[in-house]
Amino acid sequence: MNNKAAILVVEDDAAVRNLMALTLETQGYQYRVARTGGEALIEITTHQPDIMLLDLGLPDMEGIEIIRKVRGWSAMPIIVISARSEDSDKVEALDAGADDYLTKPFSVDELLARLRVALRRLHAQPAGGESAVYENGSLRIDYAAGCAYLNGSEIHLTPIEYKLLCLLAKNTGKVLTHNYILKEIWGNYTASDVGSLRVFMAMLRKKLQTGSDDQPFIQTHIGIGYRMLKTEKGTEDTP
Amino acid sequence: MPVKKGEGERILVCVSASPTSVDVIRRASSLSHAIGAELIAIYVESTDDQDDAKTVHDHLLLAERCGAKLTTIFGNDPATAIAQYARVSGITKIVLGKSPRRRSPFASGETLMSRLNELAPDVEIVIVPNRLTADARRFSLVHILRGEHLSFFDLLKTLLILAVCTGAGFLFTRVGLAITNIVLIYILGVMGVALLTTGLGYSLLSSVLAVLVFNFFFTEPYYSLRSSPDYFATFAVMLAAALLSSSLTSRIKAQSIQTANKAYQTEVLLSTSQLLQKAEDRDAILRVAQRQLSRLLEHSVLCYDLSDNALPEKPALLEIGQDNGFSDVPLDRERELAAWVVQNKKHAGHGTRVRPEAKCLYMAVCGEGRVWAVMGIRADNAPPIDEYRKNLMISILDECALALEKDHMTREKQRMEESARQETLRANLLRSISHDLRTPLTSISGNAAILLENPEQLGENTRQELYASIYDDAIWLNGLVENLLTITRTENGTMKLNMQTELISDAVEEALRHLDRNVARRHISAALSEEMLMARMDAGLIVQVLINLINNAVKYTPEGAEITIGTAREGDHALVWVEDNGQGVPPGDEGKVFDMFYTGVKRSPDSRRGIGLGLALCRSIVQAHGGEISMKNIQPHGARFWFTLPLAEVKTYEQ
Repeated sequence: MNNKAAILVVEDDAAVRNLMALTLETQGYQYRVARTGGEALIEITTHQPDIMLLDLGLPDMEGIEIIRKVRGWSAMPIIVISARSEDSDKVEALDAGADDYLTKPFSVDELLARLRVALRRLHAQPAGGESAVYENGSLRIDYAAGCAYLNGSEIHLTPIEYKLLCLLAKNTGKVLTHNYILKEIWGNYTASDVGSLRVFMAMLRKKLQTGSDDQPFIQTHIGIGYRMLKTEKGTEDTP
Repeated sequence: MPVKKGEGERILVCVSASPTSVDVIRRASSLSHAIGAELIAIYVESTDDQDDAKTVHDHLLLAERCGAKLTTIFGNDPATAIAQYARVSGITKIVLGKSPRRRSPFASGETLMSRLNELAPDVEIVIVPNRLTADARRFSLVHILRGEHLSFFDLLKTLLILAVCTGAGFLFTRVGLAITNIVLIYILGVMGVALLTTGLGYSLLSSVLAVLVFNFFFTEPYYSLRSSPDYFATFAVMLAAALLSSSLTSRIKAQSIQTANKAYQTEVLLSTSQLLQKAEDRDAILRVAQRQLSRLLEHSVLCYDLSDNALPEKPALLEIGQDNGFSDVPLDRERELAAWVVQNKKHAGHGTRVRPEAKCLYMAVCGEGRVWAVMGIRADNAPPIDEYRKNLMISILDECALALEKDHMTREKQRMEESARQETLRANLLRSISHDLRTPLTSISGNAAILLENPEQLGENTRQELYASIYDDAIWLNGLVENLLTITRTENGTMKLNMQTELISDAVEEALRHLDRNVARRHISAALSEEMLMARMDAGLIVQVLINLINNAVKYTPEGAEITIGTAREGDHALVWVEDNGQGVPPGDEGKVFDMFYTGVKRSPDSRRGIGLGLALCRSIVQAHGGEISMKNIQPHGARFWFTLPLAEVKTYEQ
């Protein structure tokens, strides 16, 4: 695994910052720390980190604001860390452009798993672009033909299921909020579509089951959204 | 008698249709002003009353302008009625005119006075001398006939009845019956006229006509109004008998109509109090009062409910058929009047001194110095409301105010009890929390201190145990904090649910991802319904319910126990259960486990863990979702906790 990626830790609480720094150091990641939103913005412009771990409650500005600013010119993966357990905060951060979220208290394992997902996404981007075929473990999508295959055999998907699958595949590793998916797939949506999204996703997930106890391709984040996970033979990514 | 100035004096002034009444009212008013007494105007309505309602109404209005409170009572004997009223309401002085209030020769003003004196000896009686007696008599005779409406139909009836009598008379003469029988037939006819026509006019007319016709047809010389002087006595007696019987009959008729009216109105009043007692809340009370008023008065009634002490923009209207009765009333403009009523606690609008041109009469429903509501009565398109019904109306309004007050008090009491209960709960909670927070914190800081100070003296295994203990305590604390946060959201009654349609299986999966580490030592399996069960829920809260139920099962089962989570459809609800094969709860405690601070077997106050918040929280959350939660022990041993959620119907459609 490429651990040379530079990680920016934005956290005002010293104990948590030290914990994260220690964790990253033991895993051999390069990292820099910022205590405030202002410091973070300077770090981002001067050192251009690859990934940002961002605490939402900063003394000088709202974390959401930083996400919006950064998203103006960078697609770097942002993992939001929040002490608030309210789903709406996470959804707001994700809708603002964050890739993933962690709720305090989180375990070190969890933090590392999220980082691996983000890194994989980082590496997939320059190579992937708009390639004609998407591969993720036993799942393959042929965009040109408009077909999806599981273990080599075609999966029969309805048009909406296929659209959903493509949307998730193109954002592998990123948590997509319900609102984002609804907007992308249905355009103008109403409250009743939220329920149908759950049904379509449940059916899609059922069709993507490989039968074994493998990690599912699509992860459900209840109250928030869905995420396609990159699975590789032998590696367990369980954020 | 020396006049005491100030409180306690209550002057009663007797109002009648007599023109002297004006003078009496003025005198009474100046008397009341002079001694600073309360003035009450009373009008005795009786069944044989021939008083002109409009004159009485005018006089009562005058009395009201003079600052009197109006009352109308009923009774055919005014002396008794007034005396009773005076006794009941603590009247100290009665002012009445000297003119005979009634035209009956048996009850003159003097007797009224002397009878009052007899019946209410404690009350001082003030007589206002009469300057208009002669006029009054003429006036009263004139006004009897003035009120009559000429009706062609009634005239026809009168003539027809007399014709029939005449026919019968001819028959009688043919048969050879005595002439006295014919006289009786005519008297019968006159009674019939009195019964079948409205007003006294026709009966008087028929009495005279009967005598004339009798004279014309049946006395010698026949077919001529001339007759022998022998018959004059007969005519006189016949006229007297006819007049008397006709007046008696019309009186009986008037009485029966009045009785029926009174019965109806009393029935309305009675049913009002019954309905008001049954009404469950403020809204229902006001609806009842509104409906009853509209039944009683046969007018449309609107209602402004001042529920938060402010006059609402739009009044509540009763839908009667298509029309609510106010479609042509400028309600926006008349709302000002309602506002005036609220401010002054007095009637306003149609027929009063304040904006009498308004279409509605506005009255305040008030009690305890506070206006609860304003009722508006559409009065411009209907005859004026008589005093009796006005009184009933005021009784209904008073009763409505009482009911509202009672409702308000009950609610207030409930609120106080609720807040007292909340306060105890909060105090208990704080006490338990500080205990529950301190225990794991002691353990964490203690273990960490040992590890910091002399790590080398500890064996690797001991160190691992201490690490694990710190970790477990920290996780446990987090769970507690999570529940506490949710409690602050749920227990103050302002639980804001972030409701979304979710798959129940998603919630179960999410819960399974967030379990304590102790779970690893139990076998947890899921038996989820094949069907996709969707419910509207605050996902975070429902996940917490599941986590609490599973953690609860873990807490009360030995290692190696089986815990099953299942879902199923049950009618239009989703059923979710968590089942274990532990010991179950002690018999009799099944209903109590969801109470706050229930913690299974009673332990010493210092025993560790669990303030029994989890299940109580589950209950509030599930109830807030419109579901039920319960538990029962299962055979051979174990417990099954279940809850339901209303299913959401989801339409799926492809574009």
